[in-house]
Amino acid sequence: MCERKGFLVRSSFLGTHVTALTFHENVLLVGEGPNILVYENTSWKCFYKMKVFKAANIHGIRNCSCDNDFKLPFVAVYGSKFLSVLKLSAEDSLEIIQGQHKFEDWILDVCWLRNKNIGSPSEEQRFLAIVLAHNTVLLWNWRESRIQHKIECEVKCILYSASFLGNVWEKLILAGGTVFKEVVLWPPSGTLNENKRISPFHRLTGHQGVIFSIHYNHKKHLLCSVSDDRSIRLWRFILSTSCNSNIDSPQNEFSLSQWRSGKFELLHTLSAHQARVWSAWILTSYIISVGEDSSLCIWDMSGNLLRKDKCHNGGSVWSLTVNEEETLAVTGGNDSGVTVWYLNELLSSLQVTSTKLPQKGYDDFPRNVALISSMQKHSILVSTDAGVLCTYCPNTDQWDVIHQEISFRSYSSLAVSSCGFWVGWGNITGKCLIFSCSDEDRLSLKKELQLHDGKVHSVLWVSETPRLILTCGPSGQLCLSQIEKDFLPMILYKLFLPRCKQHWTSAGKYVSQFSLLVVGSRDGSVHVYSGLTCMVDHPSDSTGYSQNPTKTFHCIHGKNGVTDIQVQHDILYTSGRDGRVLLYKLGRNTVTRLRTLKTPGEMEWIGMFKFIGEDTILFGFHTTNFISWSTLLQRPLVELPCGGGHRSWDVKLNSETGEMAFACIKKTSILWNQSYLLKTVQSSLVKTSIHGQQIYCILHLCQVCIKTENFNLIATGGEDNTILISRMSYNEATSQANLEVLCRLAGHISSIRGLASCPMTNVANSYLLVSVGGRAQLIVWNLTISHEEDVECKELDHHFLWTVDKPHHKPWQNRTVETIPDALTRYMSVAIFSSHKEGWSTETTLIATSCSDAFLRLFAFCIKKGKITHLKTIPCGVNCMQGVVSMPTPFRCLITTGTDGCLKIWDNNKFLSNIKDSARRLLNENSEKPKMANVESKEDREKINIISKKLYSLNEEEHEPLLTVRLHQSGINAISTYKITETYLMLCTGGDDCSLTIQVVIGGQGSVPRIVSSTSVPSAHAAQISGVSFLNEKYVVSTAVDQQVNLWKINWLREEKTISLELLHSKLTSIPDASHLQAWKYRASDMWTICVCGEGVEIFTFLLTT
Amino acid sequence: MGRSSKDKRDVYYRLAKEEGWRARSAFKLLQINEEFCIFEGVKKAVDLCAAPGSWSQVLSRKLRGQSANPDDVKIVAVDLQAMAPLPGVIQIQGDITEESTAHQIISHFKGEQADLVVCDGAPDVTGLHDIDTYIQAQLLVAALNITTHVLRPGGTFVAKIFRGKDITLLYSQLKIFFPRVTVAKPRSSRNSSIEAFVVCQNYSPPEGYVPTMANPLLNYDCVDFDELEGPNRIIVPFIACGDLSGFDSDRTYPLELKEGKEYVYHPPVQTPIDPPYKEACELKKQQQLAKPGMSSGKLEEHRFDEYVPVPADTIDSKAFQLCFRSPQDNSLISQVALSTCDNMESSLSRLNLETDNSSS
Repeated sequence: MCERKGFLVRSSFLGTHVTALTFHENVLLVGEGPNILVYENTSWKCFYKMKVFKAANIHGIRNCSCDNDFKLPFVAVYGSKFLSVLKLSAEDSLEIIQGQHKFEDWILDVCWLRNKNIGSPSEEQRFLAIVLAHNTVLLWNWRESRIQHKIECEVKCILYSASFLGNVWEKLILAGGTVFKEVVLWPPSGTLNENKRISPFHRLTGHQGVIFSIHYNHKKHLLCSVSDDRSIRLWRFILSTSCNSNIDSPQNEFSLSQWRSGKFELLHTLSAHQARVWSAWILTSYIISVGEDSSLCIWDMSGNLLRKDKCHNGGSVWSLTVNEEETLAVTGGNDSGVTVWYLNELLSSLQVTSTKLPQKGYDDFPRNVALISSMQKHSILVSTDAGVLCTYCPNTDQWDVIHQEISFRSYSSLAVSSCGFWVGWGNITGKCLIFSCSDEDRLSLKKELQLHDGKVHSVLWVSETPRLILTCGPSGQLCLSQIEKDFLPMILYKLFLPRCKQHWTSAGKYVSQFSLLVVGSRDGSVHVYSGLTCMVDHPSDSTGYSQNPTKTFHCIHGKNGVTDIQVQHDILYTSGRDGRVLLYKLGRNTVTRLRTLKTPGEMEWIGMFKFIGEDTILFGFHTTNFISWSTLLQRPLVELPCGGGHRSWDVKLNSETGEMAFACIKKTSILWNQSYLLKTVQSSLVKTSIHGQQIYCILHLCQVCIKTENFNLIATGGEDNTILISRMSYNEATSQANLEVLCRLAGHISSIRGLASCPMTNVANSYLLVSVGGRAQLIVWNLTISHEEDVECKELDHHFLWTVDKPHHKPWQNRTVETIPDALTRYMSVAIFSSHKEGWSTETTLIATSCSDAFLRLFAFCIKKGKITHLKTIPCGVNCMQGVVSMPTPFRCLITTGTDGCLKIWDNNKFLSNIKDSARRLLNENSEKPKMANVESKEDREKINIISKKLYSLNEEEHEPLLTVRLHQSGINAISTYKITETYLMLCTGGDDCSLTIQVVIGGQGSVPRIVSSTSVPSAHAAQISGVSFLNEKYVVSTAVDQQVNLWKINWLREEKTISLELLHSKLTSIPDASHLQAWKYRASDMWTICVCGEGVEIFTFLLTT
Repeated sequence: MGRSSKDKRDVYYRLAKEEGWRARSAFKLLQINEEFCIFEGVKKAVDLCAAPGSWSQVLSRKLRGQSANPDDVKIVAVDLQAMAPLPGVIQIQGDITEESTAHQIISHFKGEQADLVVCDGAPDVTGLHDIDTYIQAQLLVAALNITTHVLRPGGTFVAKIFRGKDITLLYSQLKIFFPRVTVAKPRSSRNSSIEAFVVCQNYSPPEGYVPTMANPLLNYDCVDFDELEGPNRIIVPFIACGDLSGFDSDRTYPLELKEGKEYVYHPPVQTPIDPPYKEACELKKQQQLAKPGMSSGKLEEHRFDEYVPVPADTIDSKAFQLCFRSPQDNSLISQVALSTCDNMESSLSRLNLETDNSSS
């Protein structure tokens, strides 16, 4: 906070790397940037937050629990060269006892010492051992803030990691990880050699890279080190034979001579991480490790990998801690997220059990499995090759035959309703049997139906109330029947499924609210039948299956079929074997496609999904494993080996007990697993994840008032190929802001570099969002704020520069994406612009993108058609383009910036002048999409080269900018505009050369813009400037990689035509590698919100005081 | 992605391969030289953190090229990693933050002094910027420390820096030894990269300064962290170097750089020697990385009888490996890892099954 000269700047929100975690009594301490956050350890509610360091990030938190007999409420917090000692008071708040003491070098570890020679417990805690990065140990009296001893090791080099072994100074051992691949162990209290330094006892060699962390378990005498070489090495300390019986210490601590004479033996080298390993812990029976590949691995003591889980949204997992009881592990990541792992639940479900049918003299084997629930018990329902329907109860190992019929031999189709009480069983002759669980807890036959005159291809329970069953007979005959308690079946509708290769349904859902039936077919299409009310007095005419779908989403899930359809509120979800979940909005007789749910890339086949609370759990397959995946946690919950998805399988998850049952058939056996996920599903999330990797752009979409609440909508995009739509709320009482992630938009295949938006003209609170990024990809989205303060996101169209949009019939044969030159062009920035040329209706939005191949590309998006059309390619010199912004009306100009430090102003109207015929036709026809041949032979390759050359200059047209001015020595990384009057415009740029410039441009209607006043501050920052934003004509704010947010006062004298910048204030941000900044006015007050993004997000509020 | 995709994305990477440089960073030194003429009259040079050796290559080609007698030129290259040999370059393998390495370098300059010290070293960045910039600053400090021992007064020092939040502190330290400090950003260094280069000219140590290895050369204590907020005290001029009309490292170029000039793929000049991840990649290739539910592919056998007994309560009762040996020749028949004692019976029965199978 800073208050001077009539203004106030404070940090209101921070979301960045979580680099330190520690349990202390009943709280969890989280270190995020310079802040420490205190969470209650069962509800995971944050009840206290404090900034510990001014200019450093927290890298470690060490609590004072030397022994079980006494624990004091102190914690030492360190980061960079600073150390603070905090006291956790009874009121659950933190108090700084010793504030940010600065040491001469980087701190790697801190240890609370227990000193034998001093009496009372409180006295004992006066000393801390501190290890510094150049292999130096300090004995520090923190009460008096005095260094008692400074001891150096003989091995003098930079350590990347260090860890103290023990907590008694006289027996203390330091293990340091060097850059030259060794762990060096030495005693800080040992005897000095002739150089006044201490020689190491042991050097553990074997790692092939830098050592990133060391952990020692003193009960088991095991040490593990993790490294750049992606391995974890587990070492066991063994006493030498001469002094093995002399352990007198109650803490199981060895004396220095024992440490010296013993030896370390390598037990295991554990390799499973696919990138660097950051940290590992040795527990009593497990080893847990985390790393850069955003995975958490759990190993047993024999070195077998038990689990490997992806987490933290693809970012590094920086921190790991385990509670004392070893029931919980907590991880913190790049994504500002903190996740709890319930070890008992995680390890409860590793094995699948295998069962065979009881053999009765003939060879029978299972055909289908399903799970039924009856009276709190899970049973597996099995239909066999011999036409037997039986149940198996795994708990009692008991088989029960329910029904047996010869016509169900070798083929049958089985379905259980989602409640688990109703069963439908169809056969090859068109017969369908209905079973249900009666009161005495046993499945029994309720009804026999003859629905079709041929094979029943599929049976689906499509609704609970009314209870509807959909059967699919030969040649696409669909039969929707109602089955109620009285078991008088009623065929409601006979429908026709459009022809496709495998002509049957694979999923279905009836939505009574809108009288819609949605079915998915084996060819990946989704069909909608509307107007199907269940209030029919008599069944439809039995003459034929003629009713066609009212709407079809053709092959929307690819060639492998739709697997599940569910409805939540008025949103329809479909999943498919293409590994995607798609969202649709339901209305009266209408279904509109919204967008793709962010699903794991590694799940290639989604079979089913279920909503639990806020979470959507996906069930599917990856290679030979069954996976259940949580979209809320963005990680798998259970992974089971089962042989893959091509088999009969079923899964049931009970939302109240958290019990998950899975069954499938493998060869002639039935595999079965039961796991418990209650806590994992209910309370794994301590702190929400933002972006897993760096954020490149931020866009304030709107600020609207809904129900007296200020609603700020923000879009962010970055390296993780995802756009986050978040809601920022600001608490004026505490002056704290909060970011709530509403939606994660997936669709980009490379990093997102630029965002732009404009309001939709015809719908209130609805916006068009354009995102661009790597691999020359452009996507147009629509965001609508609904009354429930929720945001509906819809993908309208996407455009690749070099590929065909349409799905290929044989996509595996098409390699054009990879072989065309310049498919690697990056869109660096995007702007939406307007033109007052006639003939451009308001239905068309004009989009400009600056490209890394030195072109400016223009597109038109037609709202009515929902289509993007490429209009023009304009060469802009020899350098990579960086930014493109549109001048506010009435200027009608585009400004582009490049890595050559040049700013160019272009006339919008000229761009569009001769587009009339050619592009207008394109807009209408959309037939211009280039067709690519397959690249197999050399001739083909040549052909491609010719085509691509054409593409390279597709609609290329030379244009002269209205104005070119060189403002910076090298790239212009940031630009912001501000309209002062209808004729005056202010322009601010920030460059790679650390300078900041400001220009006043005169222009407007009809006249050629020209710069009237200009100024430049050469060393405005100490590093490249990456963000600038005007607050108004008096203030501009800038940020750079030097982590400063600078506030500048603009002194502009219109008559004198002079302008100057005066630095008012500098504030340090905790966001490293800042890449963008945006400021906007908060309501009508003299308050602005300044949002900085980079490796995280920080929100500042700037307030003018009087 | 095809093998040419990196060539498309990064023109200097491609040019480096075509012109025979070991890394694209060679262009950075060349472009710095274009601006500052740092090679003028240089006979003796030190390249710190040299691997893979592109800067040494530039020094070797340029200095030996401009000299009447190439053998008069002395170039010492130091790196932690192994490096393929280069003509006229003396190589030392060691860590420059380690004292012994520093002594080794100095020993090569007994009685002589270098005209130029360059350092293109960077740590393997972790992604935590404060650590990365700290390590980078330590590399620079170590390089500067070595420089104070070997550089002649008036000599030049060029080093890579990360422009992080503490960069002004580093500038102030360099200013103690060099009256002219400039930050240079060659065009071949990407705009998006955090790196830049300090070109420190006219080495003039403070009067009475005696280079020493024992004391930490630079202490930051003179600058308080409170001063981090506020205007920059130390202003260091910035110069972008390299030809504006030359190649732009941020731009995506078509494979056909000039009309009619056909693209030919060039393999990398020098692939990394023994990178840390070599073994891990090898394991991955052979599908030997551990997977859940399978025994680790890299378990080493340990015979407990070789170990000295540890105190009773420290024995790990839950991690045993059973080794079954043939009574005849003591050869290992089978080995079973027991994660808990509870499942010993089932493991034994499983083992029975396996041995039965193998015998039949």
